[in-house]
Amino acid sequence: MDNPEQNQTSKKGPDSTLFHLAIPTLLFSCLVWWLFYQPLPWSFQIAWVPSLNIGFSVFVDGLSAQFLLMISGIGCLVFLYGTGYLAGHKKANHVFLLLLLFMLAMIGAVVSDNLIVLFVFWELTSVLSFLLVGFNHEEENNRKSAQQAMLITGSGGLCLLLGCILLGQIAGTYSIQLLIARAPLFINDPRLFWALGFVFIGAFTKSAQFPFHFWLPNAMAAPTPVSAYLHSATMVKLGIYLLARLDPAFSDLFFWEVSLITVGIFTAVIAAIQTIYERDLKRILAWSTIATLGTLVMLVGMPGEGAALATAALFFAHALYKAPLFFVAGNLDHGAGTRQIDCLTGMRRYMPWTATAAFFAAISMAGLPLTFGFVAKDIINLAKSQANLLQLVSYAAFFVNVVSVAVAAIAAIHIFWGQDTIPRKAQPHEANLRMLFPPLVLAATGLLFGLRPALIDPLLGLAAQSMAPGLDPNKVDLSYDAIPVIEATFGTLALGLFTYLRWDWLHNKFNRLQAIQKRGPESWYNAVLETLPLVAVRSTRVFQNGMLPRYLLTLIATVAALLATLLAASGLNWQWPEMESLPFPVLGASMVIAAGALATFRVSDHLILLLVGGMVGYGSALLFLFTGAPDLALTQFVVETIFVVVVAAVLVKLRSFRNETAKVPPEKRFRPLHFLVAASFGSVFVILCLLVSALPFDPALTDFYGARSLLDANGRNVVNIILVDFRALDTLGEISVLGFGLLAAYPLLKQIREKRR
Amino acid sequence: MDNLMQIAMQNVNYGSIMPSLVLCIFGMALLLINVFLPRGKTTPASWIALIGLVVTAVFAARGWGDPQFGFAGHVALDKFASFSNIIFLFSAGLTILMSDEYLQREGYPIGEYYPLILFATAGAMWMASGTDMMTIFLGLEVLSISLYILAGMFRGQLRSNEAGLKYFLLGAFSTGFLVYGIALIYGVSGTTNVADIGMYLKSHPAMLGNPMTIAGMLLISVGFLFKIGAAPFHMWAPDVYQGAPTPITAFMSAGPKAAALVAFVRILILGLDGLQGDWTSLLWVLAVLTMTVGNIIAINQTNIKRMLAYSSISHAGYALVGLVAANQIGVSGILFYMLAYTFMNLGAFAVLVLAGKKGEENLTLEGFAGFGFKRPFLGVAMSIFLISLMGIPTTAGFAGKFYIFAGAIKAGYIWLAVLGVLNSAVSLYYYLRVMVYMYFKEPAEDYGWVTLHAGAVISIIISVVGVFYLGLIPGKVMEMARMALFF
Repeated sequence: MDNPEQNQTSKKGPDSTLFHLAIPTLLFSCLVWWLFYQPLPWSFQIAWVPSLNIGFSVFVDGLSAQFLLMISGIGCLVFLYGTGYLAGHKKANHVFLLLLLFMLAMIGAVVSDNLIVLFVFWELTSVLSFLLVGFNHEEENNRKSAQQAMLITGSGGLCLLLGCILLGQIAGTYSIQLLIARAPLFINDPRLFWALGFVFIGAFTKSAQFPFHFWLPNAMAAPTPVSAYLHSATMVKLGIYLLARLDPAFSDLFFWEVSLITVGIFTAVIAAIQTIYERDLKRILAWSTIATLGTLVMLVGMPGEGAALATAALFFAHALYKAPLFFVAGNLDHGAGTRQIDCLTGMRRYMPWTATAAFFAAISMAGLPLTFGFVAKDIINLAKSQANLLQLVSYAAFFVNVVSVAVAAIAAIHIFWGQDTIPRKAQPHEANLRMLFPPLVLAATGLLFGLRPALIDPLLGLAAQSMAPGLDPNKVDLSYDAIPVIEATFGTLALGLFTYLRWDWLHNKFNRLQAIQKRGPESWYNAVLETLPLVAVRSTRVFQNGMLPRYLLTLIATVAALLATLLAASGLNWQWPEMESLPFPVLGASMVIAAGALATFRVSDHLILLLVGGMVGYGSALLFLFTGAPDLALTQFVVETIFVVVVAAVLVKLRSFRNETAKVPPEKRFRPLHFLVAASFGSVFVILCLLVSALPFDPALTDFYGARSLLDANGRNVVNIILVDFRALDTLGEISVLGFGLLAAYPLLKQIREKRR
Repeated sequence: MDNLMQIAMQNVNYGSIMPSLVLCIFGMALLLINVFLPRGKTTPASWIALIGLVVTAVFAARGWGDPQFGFAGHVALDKFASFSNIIFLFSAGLTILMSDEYLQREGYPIGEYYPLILFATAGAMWMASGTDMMTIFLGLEVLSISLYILAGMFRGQLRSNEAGLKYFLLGAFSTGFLVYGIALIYGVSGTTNVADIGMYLKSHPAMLGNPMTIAGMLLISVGFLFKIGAAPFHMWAPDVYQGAPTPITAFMSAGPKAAALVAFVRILILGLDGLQGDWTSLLWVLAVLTMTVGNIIAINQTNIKRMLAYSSISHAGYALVGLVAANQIGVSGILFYMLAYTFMNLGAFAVLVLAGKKGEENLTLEGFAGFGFKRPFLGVAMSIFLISLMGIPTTAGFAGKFYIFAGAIKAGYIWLAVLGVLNSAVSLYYYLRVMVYMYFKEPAEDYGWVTLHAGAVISIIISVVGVFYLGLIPGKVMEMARMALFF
């Protein structure tokens, strides 16, 4: 939780904290200066990954400029507010550093023309948001919220990456401008459905749209300046920014239009309902932010130039009224020590300036005349009437507006007017200047633009042009005729005030609906988070139990299954070799191998098992001997012998270690599963061998040695010649292996014998 | 006799095996030097081993501009091998840097440790530059046997014993499959030379459908997939990674894995190109399985060493995605990813090496509570590595994943990329948890016992630089990875 006490303590060097303001202010002033002197769009390029055509290409048009102004302008005020809000906090510098990084990441995201670069900055904002939300990490809840925000926006970001790569593949470019230009060429590509689907997931997670919206209210655990900046003014709008950016390319797509309008309006309605059952001012504001974000998504989805202009106007209006309201919530938290609206009435007496800021921000939010909120509402209504939406959507939008009026009334009237009847420990006090200036400035700006919309005409026109290229920015005129608009919005206002008056009654009514929330998306998220470790534990216990036989079984079974599938697919055209072609010794050797293999079934004593295993080895050596590889046979004999002797020595040694008291439960004799796997593995390999032997024999080597042995090596015994001449190096190698085997066995055996003595 | 000598010495080109030769010489010299070092003093040995690696790096780098071929087409020190060699050298170097203090602390200052790492690295190099099945197999065995010993190095610890034995037994089994596969392919094509196999299969398309060929491919794949630690042949990995000495775990999850991958790449793309349809569908399934299994077992780990070790299975899965793509971006993405992974994973393990107490019982999530604030340098470094492992932009991990997924999408494997991304999302959960503990929990102790040893700190710094270099300016290295391809 925020610590109001810390504000009073330790007030050393009040001006040193203002140093944090330097960079944001500089950025903001540069930007404003540039906007006046340098016509839009600005663009330049820096190569980054040339092999993939990924460059840091900067492209700033009206939309980007609008975002830049919001990011740096509100950034300045947030920093200023932060110096007051976090004064004396031990980790204040941390927050400022993270905020600054965040600001740069946001700037990077909105100026980048490259989808991948945009994504890079996008993910950075998620990470920074994680660190900022978790700032007050003493409470378990805050940690969870931070993790939740990161998991949802981070995963969404990954989907966005996928969408971006897909878009890039489809369009053949990662440049957004080129993509828009080429859009008519690939608009019918079936893959576009998937690409945009993933982009939507990314944008919806970031901009808190249903069903990913629940992280935003929980992220209110962040310090107030952070909430005002990230979760209202800038970061959450990034998703909508991306959609707006891509709008000119895809606005004609039915899929695009329908998804955005549906999701947007649905989110707005859900959020409006949720607003009513909150009692914490900051969470109320968070829900109403989600409602606005939903409206924005809907506006982006709506076709037409009016919708584009409306989007641009609402971007601005929302930043101008919601950020000051967050500041107000922070001031109340500081001054009165609570954000619960039940405990806040009549605050006007203690906090007159905060009340003023709240009032002006709230009338803009409610859309009363003479405010910029009013201007925005006017344009939105116009856009809606142009777009011939479904009647249902219009009603829904109306409902959302009503709730937003009610929220404005809560913030401006309920909290600050009336009698302060609640007993408190300490007298609430007004916030200091640094915490009053930002909300007042923003609210005043909203008022200024409301009175003289012409001031902002050109910028909004340019921004709208980015979304609807057909629009002529010079023809944008935001001036309005007040009377018809008031008539049009009268219903909203009246119903909004009514909702405000019956807020508590509605709250109680809606509380009964909380069962729905229990089954909402947040519960799905929690369910996934809970079941994932469970699944992990279970599957680990089954498959990763540390038992070597189990591992071997899996290994062998997999190989057998793979080969069996292959053999089945290839039609099994193998045949048994003819019996009479088997000479007697070969048959005998095979019998030895078979006998050894079968005997392993019946034997349980390790030592005897070893000897039986040795029998298999000897059998193979015999087989080599009788099939024309005496050298191999010799090596095999020796190695097998050494192996058996050494392992036997070790086993005997180990027996003396065996703890006689620990009763080892007798092993089960017959394990059907093991038998099945072993049998199928064996059969598969037999079939494989038969297949191999069915292939025609390649006589190249036999012919070669037969022809060359007398000429090159002056010998008639071909085997001999191969061993000592043609493959002399191999033979040397074999002899060395024998030598090393003996050498390795010797010290081992010697040591065992010495120990025995 | 002269004639024979000529045949035998024909094509012998020591330049083509120079890097591994230097390593072997240093390794053998070290074995001898160890005899004369006082008991328990391994520091000089570690420095000699490092010098050996640096000298090797010079020779390895020379293969870049001036490819060397030799031993009758068995060995090629081409760009592909050179790039891979650099990966192995980095992973061996970082491992050795963090090892010395660790061995002292755990009470096993064994001199043979360093030569074995050098031999393992030499084996890895043979795998990368092997253009013949037999060379690759030879490299694999040298590498594996060294690792079997290294895994079981801590003789007094049951877990280490278990690791060595399990790895050996299962490894021997899988090598058996590999040899079987090689024999089958030899039976089909009459050659063990990778390029010749490719040529043969191209000129005899009828043999492509022969079950023997496909069975050979399957068995070879099983052998390599085992070494890579791909599911369902991964079961050794968690137990071995957990039991082996921590720096060795780090080493195993980077260098040797990369070696198996690059050799696998060479065999599949150069030799078994004709069977691409078969092996991509096999690897498609296994890549998804590997990523999923790796992530799922990593989730419920509370021990960070185990968590990192298990998650390295899923990273092998990501690398396999690039192999499924089998195009330029995907395969050069594998090279890039393994280099990136070397930095981020070894860096993270180096932090663990420093943060552990004897026996490493404290490397749990709880044991890291508040670590970030108490030990800022290590905390920040660990966070950087974790963020890179998650695949968050500006770090090497992101660039690597990006190339691999881009390759998969370009090759038309959209669903594979989707599943890969979903898996990355799951991995956010457990990597993030470490950060939550490091920064958002109140420290239970002040971690006063953590001392920053020079070696491990250097390896952390190198890793951080590597992670950011590859993350911020991946273009140059990616370009090199692209040039390193042989197709």
